[in-house]
Amino acid sequence: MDHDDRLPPELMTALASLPWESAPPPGEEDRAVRALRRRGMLPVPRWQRYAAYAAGVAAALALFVAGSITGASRARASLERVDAVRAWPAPVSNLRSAELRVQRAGSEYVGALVQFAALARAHPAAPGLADGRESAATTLCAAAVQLPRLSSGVGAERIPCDDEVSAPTRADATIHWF
Amino acid sequence: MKALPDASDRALARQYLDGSEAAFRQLYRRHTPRMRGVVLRLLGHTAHEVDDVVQESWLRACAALDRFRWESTLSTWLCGIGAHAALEVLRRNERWAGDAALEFVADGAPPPGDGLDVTRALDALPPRQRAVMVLHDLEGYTHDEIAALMGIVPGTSKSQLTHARNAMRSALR
Repeated sequence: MDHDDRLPPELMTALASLPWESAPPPGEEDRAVRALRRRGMLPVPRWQRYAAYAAGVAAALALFVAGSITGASRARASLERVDAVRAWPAPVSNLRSAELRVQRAGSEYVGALVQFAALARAHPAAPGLADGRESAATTLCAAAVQLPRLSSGVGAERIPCDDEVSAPTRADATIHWF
Repeated sequence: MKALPDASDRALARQYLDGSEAAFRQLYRRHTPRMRGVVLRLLGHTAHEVDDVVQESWLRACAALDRFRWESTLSTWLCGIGAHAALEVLRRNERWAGDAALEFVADGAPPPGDGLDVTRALDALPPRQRAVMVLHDLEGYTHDEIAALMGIVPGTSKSQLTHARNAMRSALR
């Protein structure tokens, strides 16, 4: 086989007609610049750096504001719950809350009587002892008057109390203090 | 520092290495058409990877520019990088014919015809024959250089060139 390195004349003419250069399509230069920047082989222009900083700051601010709004909203809701727990008397809106209020009031009443009785024993001659006893009895009686209303029978016999019927004299009443 | 259009390649390269985008753009506009011409002829005018190969070649060139010793022109160096990248694509895409097929020229030869122009005749050659012909007859590489570039022996390069020339002659007759 002939391995002559010289280019045959007819091919030389043909190949000489080939264009040596080929212009790149539009946008290729920018693509190359972007690729160099991505690889850190060209510095990012100053305006792009500033834009990136500005975007970062804006994102941080947006995050902060969103966090603040969310936090404030949740804190408000939490405070409202705490306020509701602390509120006394609790708002009565249904039978369950009414029942809870009765329980709580009863506990408060009994607790107050225990404290009063302890102080009365310690200071038997203190002023206000008689008033306290009267308040305790009156409250208990008023509560007892309301009890028939809780029974299912309509027109249940009412228990009289001293503000509705003639009250028994203090001498007749036998009160056992606890 | 502003990259002047008539600044030397060396001055522009120095400015680019100092971070000048304008200098890179100037070098790109100056040398890409020639580099793209080489890549286009090696891959064939229908190849869609041409511009990716050109970009990859620029990335490699820029990464190695500080080590370029200016013993050849920048254009020659860049075209060599482009040729190397194009040959890698041909190899990766397994467009090479097998060794047995290399000797069988008729399969890859374009059909003879009056209207067939040189570009189409060249594109119709088997990739390895086209690569040898482009590198030898158009770019002036020696068979030793082609053999080193393509990972073949110089004798194969010579026989490929002979086949390519015969095919071209037939096509252009």
